[in-house]
Amino acid sequence: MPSMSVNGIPVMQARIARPRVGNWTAELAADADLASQLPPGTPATVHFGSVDYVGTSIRSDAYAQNVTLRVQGGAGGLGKDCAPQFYSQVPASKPLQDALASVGESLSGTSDPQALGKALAFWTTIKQPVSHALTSLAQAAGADVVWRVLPDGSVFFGADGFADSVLTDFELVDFMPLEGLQVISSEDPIVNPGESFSGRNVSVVEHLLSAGKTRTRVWFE
Amino acid sequence: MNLDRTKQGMAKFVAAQSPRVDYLAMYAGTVVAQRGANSFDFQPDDPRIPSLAGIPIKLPFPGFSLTLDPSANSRALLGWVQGDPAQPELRLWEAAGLEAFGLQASQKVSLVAPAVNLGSDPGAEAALMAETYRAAEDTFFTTLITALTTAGAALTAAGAVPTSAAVAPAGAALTATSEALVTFQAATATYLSQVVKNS
Repeated sequence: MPSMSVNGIPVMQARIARPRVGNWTAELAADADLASQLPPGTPATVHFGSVDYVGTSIRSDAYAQNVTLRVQGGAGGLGKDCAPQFYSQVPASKPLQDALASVGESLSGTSDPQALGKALAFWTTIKQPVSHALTSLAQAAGADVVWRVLPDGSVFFGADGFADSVLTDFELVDFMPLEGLQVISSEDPIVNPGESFSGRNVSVVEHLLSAGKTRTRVWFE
Repeated sequence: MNLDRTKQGMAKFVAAQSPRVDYLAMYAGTVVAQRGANSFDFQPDDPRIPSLAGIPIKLPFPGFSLTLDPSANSRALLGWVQGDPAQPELRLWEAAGLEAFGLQASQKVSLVAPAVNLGSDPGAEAALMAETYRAAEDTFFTTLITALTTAGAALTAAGAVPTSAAVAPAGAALTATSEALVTFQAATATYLSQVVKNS
């Protein structure tokens, strides 16, 4: 069973939800003596299997020797407002990078060049949460363009190609066709939203840790 | 808006699904410069909206063009077509600051009303009813030509008598005046135009 930790502190219970569009969140429970130093705004890296999920603590509290913690991907800036800015004759990457940089977030190098290069005769960024501005830009960049925060905390911007997942070492625990859901068990569940898994396009990935066992729920489009 | 914690979460979720809702409204502001034909720089009143440069104005009919006096600080409304941040445009204009107004049509422009005012300066005078005036003028000229021709012929005849030699030139002058009026009348079609200027 893969272990999970936050900033090196063992985690007793966890749920990491990774949607294909938007930011991932992790809700964790750890021993209070170990986890009391993770107030909101603190950088928090959740380690699970072979993946580090780089994020920021957005809520934490302690009760009965347990600290429960919510971590969001990235630097915690996507909910902050971006500054009003007007552009003319720019690629989509320009307002995108300006918005991300203004709140301390970064653009992933794996982003789609075609989406980033979408020519905009005009673009008006009004004062609104950066996440809203990203959604607007994604709509402008193309019908299939999305944004999401990757495990490394950077923002991917582009169209998903649904490439085959590299995960082959897993056990199928349950399959609910009507819900479009598979539950798997794996020592290193490296399946990601935006990929193809078991012949289906992955929409949301949830990693669950409880009572000493881990499961991964793979929701399909 | 004051919301309890549950509704705050729901409100944020709903807002995230409609990030362009604020682009569906129109925002008042001031035109600060003109960049070209029907293209303007605009400063919104709302601090959430940035200043915009070189954006088009949508006018009620095709063929219109505007030239503004930037110092007049004309006011307009800013909007976005289909709520798209990539398609800003100015709409609905307050009248201050118009320097020039053009209307270009490929066939015809008609101004049909019981009264059409061209210019409002204190020294302005009524426009001439050209066709009516020319018709009346023709009548007058015809009468004058007849009288001058008759008088000229009579005086010429009278001047043929040696004791009345000074009369013949008078008759010739009257005849020449009559001929000039005939020439003037013959060019009637050239005196009226469909192209008008105010001064």
